Amino acid sequence: MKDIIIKTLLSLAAVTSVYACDFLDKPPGVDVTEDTVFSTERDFEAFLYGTYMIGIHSIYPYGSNSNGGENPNPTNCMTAPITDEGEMAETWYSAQEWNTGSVRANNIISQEDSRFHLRWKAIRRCNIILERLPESGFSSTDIDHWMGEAYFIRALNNFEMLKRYGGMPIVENRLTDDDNWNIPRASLADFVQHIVDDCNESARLLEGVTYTTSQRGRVTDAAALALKARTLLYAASPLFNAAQPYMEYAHPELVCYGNYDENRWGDAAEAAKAALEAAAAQGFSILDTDDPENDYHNMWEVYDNQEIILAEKYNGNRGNWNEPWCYMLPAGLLLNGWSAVCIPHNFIRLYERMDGTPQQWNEPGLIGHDLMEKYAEMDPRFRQTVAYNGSAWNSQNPDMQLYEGATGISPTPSNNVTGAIMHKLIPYSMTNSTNYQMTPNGILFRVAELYLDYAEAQNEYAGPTQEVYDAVNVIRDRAGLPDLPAGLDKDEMRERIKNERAIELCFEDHRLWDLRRWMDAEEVLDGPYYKVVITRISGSGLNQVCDYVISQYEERTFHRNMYLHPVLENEVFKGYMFQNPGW
Amino acid sequence: MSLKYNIALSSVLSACLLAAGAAEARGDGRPEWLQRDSLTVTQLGTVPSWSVTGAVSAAKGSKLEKSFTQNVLNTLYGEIPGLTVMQGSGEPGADSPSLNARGYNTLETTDRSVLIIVDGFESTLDNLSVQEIESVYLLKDATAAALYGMRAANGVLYVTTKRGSIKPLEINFSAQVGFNTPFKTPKFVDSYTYATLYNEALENDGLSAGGYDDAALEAYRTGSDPFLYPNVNWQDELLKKMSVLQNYNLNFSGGNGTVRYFALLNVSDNNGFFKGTDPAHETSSNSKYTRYNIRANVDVNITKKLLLNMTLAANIADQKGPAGGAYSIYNKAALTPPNAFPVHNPDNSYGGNSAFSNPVGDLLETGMGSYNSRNIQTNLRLSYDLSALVKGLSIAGAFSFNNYFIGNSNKSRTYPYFQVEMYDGEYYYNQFSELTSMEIDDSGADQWRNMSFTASLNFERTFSKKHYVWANAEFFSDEDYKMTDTDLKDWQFPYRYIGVRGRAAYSFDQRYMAEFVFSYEGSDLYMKGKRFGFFPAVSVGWIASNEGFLKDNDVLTWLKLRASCGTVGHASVIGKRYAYFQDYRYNGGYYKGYNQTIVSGMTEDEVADRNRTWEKERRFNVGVELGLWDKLDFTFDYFLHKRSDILVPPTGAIPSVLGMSFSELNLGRTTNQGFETSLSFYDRRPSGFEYYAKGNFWFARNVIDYQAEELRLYPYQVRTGHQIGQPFGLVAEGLFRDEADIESSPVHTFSEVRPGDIKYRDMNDDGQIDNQDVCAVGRGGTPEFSGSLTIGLKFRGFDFEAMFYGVGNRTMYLSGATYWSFMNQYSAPASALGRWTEDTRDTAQYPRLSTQGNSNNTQYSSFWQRDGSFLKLRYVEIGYTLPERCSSAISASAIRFFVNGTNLFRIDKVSGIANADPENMNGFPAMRTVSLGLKLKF
Repeated sequence: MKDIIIKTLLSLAAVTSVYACDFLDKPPGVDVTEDTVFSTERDFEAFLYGTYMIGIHSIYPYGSNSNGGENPNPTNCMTAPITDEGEMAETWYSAQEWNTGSVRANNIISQEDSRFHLRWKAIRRCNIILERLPESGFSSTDIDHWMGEAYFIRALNNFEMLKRYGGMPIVENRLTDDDNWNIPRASLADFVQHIVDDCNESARLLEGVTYTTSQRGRVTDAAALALKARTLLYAASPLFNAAQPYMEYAHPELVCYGNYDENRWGDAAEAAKAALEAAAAQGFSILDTDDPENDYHNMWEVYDNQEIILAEKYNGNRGNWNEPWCYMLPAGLLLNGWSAVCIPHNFIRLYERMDGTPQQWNEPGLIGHDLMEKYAEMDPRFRQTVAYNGSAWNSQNPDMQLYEGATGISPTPSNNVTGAIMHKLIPYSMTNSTNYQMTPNGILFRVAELYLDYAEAQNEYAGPTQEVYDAVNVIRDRAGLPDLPAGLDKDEMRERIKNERAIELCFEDHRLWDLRRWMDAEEVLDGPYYKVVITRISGSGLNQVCDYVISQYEERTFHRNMYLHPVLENEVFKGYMFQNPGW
Repeated sequence: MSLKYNIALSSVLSACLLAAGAAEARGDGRPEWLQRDSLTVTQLGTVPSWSVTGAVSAAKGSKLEKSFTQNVLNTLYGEIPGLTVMQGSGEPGADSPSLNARGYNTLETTDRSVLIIVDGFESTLDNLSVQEIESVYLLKDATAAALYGMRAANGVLYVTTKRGSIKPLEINFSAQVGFNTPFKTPKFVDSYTYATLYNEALENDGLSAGGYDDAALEAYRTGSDPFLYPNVNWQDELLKKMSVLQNYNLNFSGGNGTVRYFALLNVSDNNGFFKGTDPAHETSSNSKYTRYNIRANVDVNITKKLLLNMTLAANIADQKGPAGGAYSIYNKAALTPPNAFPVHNPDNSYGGNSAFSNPVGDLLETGMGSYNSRNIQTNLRLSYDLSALVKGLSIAGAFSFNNYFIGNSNKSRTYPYFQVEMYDGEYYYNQFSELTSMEIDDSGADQWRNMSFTASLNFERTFSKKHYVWANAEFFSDEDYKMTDTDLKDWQFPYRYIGVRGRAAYSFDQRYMAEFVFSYEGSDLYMKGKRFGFFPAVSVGWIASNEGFLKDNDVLTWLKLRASCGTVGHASVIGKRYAYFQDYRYNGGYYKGYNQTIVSGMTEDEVADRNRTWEKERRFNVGVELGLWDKLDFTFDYFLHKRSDILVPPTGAIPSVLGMSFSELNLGRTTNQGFETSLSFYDRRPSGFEYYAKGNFWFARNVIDYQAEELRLYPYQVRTGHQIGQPFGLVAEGLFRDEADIESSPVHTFSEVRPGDIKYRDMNDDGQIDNQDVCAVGRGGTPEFSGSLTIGLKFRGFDFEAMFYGVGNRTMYLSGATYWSFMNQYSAPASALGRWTEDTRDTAQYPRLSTQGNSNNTQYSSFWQRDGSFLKLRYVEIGYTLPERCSSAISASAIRFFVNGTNLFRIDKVSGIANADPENMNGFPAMRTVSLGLKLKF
């Protein structure tokens, strides 16, 4: 009897211990794991496009996340209103915190750099691809191609940090439990080199890869070389290519080279030239049909046109009530805009006349009687970029009434801060009846920039040679302006190139970074800002007669610490990153 | 495991134990809940109470019955030292309070509830009837709780239900009918006052347009035009003065040496207090709840050695309410301005406007929701006496199946309402919304299911009359399904736990006791190899009053000292179902090509946490029990709990360069300490006059030791070092007196401030009031201390009993439209009458009125905080038991009539403000119930 009981107990114990073994295991399911991602090319492509989604930023303003993913620029605001390009009509956008010098390290994320954490995510994804893809067993052509794209996206995200912060931590591997995550900031020199290396590798792997129109939006060797050119141009510029940092700083190597070296300009010029050649080989070229009144705006209006080397394509059709459009459209038109991006007169002054001479504006406070005549004389790019008094927004809004006391369908008074409104980037064909939904084509690299990159670097390296003239004149020719006058010296040429760059690339997220790297920000972004106050005498549209007076509407403040962004305070507090000087 | 099972097993208990039990049952008329129990029920069997060395406090079902409410949990206020019960909504069928044991000691806010064990298996308590409850034990220290291993740390409530005993058939019948009225309803102003205040608010804002003119004010004041200038008290239009709550209970119990039984039938019904709902049509429904409980607990001695315990309980509940929920209608009644529109227009259509639908129409025309639930709690246990093998040895196996299902049926439609205006003496109607046909949605459902299995080996024996030894080992496995949807998602995979628990106890001569308890438990929440945890506890006790030198002492009749320490855990089930598993998911996409084809994107999900583990809590407890003159009983327990490995978001610790987010990591640490004490007294005069009292008081204070908090700019912003749930906000320094005051104060950045707005303290002295000035203000909403006092007397058939309950050290926060005037076009609370004006600038306690949603005044700040302490009369009951000669006339053994009042009144510090209820600031009101009852015993 005893034996039976003991045996029963023992066998019960044995049964239960076997039962206990897998009782706690996760039930089999349809889990997608990293091995799944790298098991078929189809699954991998989904991961690659997810990497594009997270890794490619936008020049357009977006709000909170939509489309189930991570918006490419969720700041709600462009960088234009932080510069002399713009003034947000509505004050809930964060731009004014820059213009009043009240940016803080604790909320830099909401003030400009909403992609701070997202970029590390993108870099991690690239590192996963670079780590796993070579052993995936896919065809070696495919592997090369995809590795090239991953190198580019990693470089692009690092560059986006370079221009904001200087040297930042270099993360070349997917970090795991075994790694030290507290990676300190790299020196500026190393960080630039890291980006350039990735660009080189990307260009090498993507050399000769071309896409059908159904694949546009993917990275090419031209894009990789264009990024390299921009990186080296920034690195050669006075902010970084300097013996001393712009402010007293305990870690100068993080924000400048520690010496000035003219050869950095030479490298930049060479890179720009290589990029231009690669772009030409890929079939990219300046959109120039000898129609100066339309060519420029077609460059953002025509989706995937020949000039665009790479654009962000996060979204399909977006209604004019949706971001990004609603954040840029003036309220009061027959569209669903929230807030116009107004243009200070400080920027309007940069536009030349059609004959290539500077426009003559009255001194502030003095009444002028020929506003409409002045507008008619301007660089054609002015008419395509700016919605000015009497101009047409689109077929439904043929007369922008920006004068005092306007009554018709026009921007609401609060959306008319400066007498001029940004029209660039918004398709002319968008109305609220036809084309009320349009796809944003967020240009990141286009051919015109490469000419300007080249001209600037070459002028610094070799002086105003013929190549410099030729490069700038390509841009002026498309715009419908005469060539630059002969006989400019190096300094004069520099000023002309800077001006050309400001006009040609305005609102494309260049101006803020250009002003910083030239170290012009303390002049341009500080001091009185002007609007034009318009009084209509008679007539309508472009045939009206108007008086104008230029008057100050605000005083802007730029502190020298704003030459670079503050590093997010939370991250600095974690103890592995140094804060930038002055923050 | 169950009480009677162990009594049946008493054949194997030693004579010593029986003698001890008998010695403790004091033969006087004191209520059952005042007696020191001779036996204590635990997961591993019933033990003599003197041998318990852990900290356990208990309440008896017979006392809980005195609170007349449908939800058992609402009878527990103040009853169990250490168990804090926080009232929630008073909506019939949805009125469960939240419970915490010795306060909260986790940083988790979603998964921190007390583990409820009914008759040995995890279950729910809120849908049982109080009449089926025998006892509710709170297992407080490590020794008492360690058996529940990694599910014990947030407290364990061990509930036993009634079972039969060896006695002739006994039939109990009771009926109780009560009248509910809302305990507190917020008060709002009438139309004239509303209009006057609104004009003042506009003036304060510097706005001229949109106010009420003199004619309108006059019309509101006189009520001359109820259609165009209505003055509606929406609460009166919607709410009856009272609703009816009834309970009928019938139970049978008894048994003999072979079979013992307890059977119960219980019906409970609350018919709701909305007006005008029509039960015959489904266009509306009152907020009502009806529940039927049945139970059959049967114990059978199948053979001399084989015992079967069967526990079968079921309940069916029907909850009904207006479409959109009772709270939504109730809230609308409170917030719709009195002058917005009339209930009915001149043509008898519903009034309404573009901002508000008609609360009465919403109640009567928009349909109804009904929720039908059924709940089955069953378990079956077989035990076999193995004394033939080894004296005192037995084995047992048990199986439990608990299932809860609730199905929703929602019928909804919209109805037209009209804004009425007058032009040239004629009414014009502007229609909003339209009548639609009823839509029926039966798709909602929710269910859970537990299946548990245990097998145990038990040994219990007394050697040489002095050495009492008791040991058990139990294997257990639990499987909990929680399904809220029809398709299977990974978080719906059953949660599984498996392990062994056990106990070894020794005592010498009823004087010295020592006990070791453990659980070795695994959960599928964790990665293989990291699934199992060991949770041990040890305790010792000394019954000094059994020592020779105290044995015959008449004053000190009982003195017991005990101490314990050990570890318990909490397996938090928040976040991803399998946190250790790294998966990828489809997320968003990217467009390519001229044709803008979207390609799906795939994303690495949040980083797998391969080291994910359970929270661990080390517990230390010392206690003393004292009895004096056999009349006064006193207990005191001090505890210190240190919790670690609490899941916290590691925002302040993980560098962003990692490029991935962790939702939560086991990084947090907290400390919790406090005490519980109770004092009870009973005396019986020679005249037969009996009187008694029992007081409970307990206190728990926690502090966050570490939570991977981000570094803060200023020390006052640091959350670590404060209590869990410490609110952070601005410090209000009163209201601005005038423009000069504003000029001389720091710049308030939230909105443009005017005199009468709230003035805040500039904590960092930067001349600016912004989010950087946020610091710790007030306390959390969970009370640090609670107490109760029950008093009673009995004389010649009359009996009286009352219980007071109070809490302290907690802060309430007044927020939302119930307290803030004109928010979202809502009404104005009566407290707005005390607003700031030029004349009251020295005394005003409420900011200036504004129509602009003045965000300066709605920042979280000390201004809107109030002391949330209160003292409440939980119940009072007066009864009369007929003399035996009367009851025996109808062959009853006892007949008792009684009057009961539950939740009768309260003293608190927030009553003045819009008639606020400190237990329930914004929800469906709690109820005050007055009832009559009858109890018959045959």
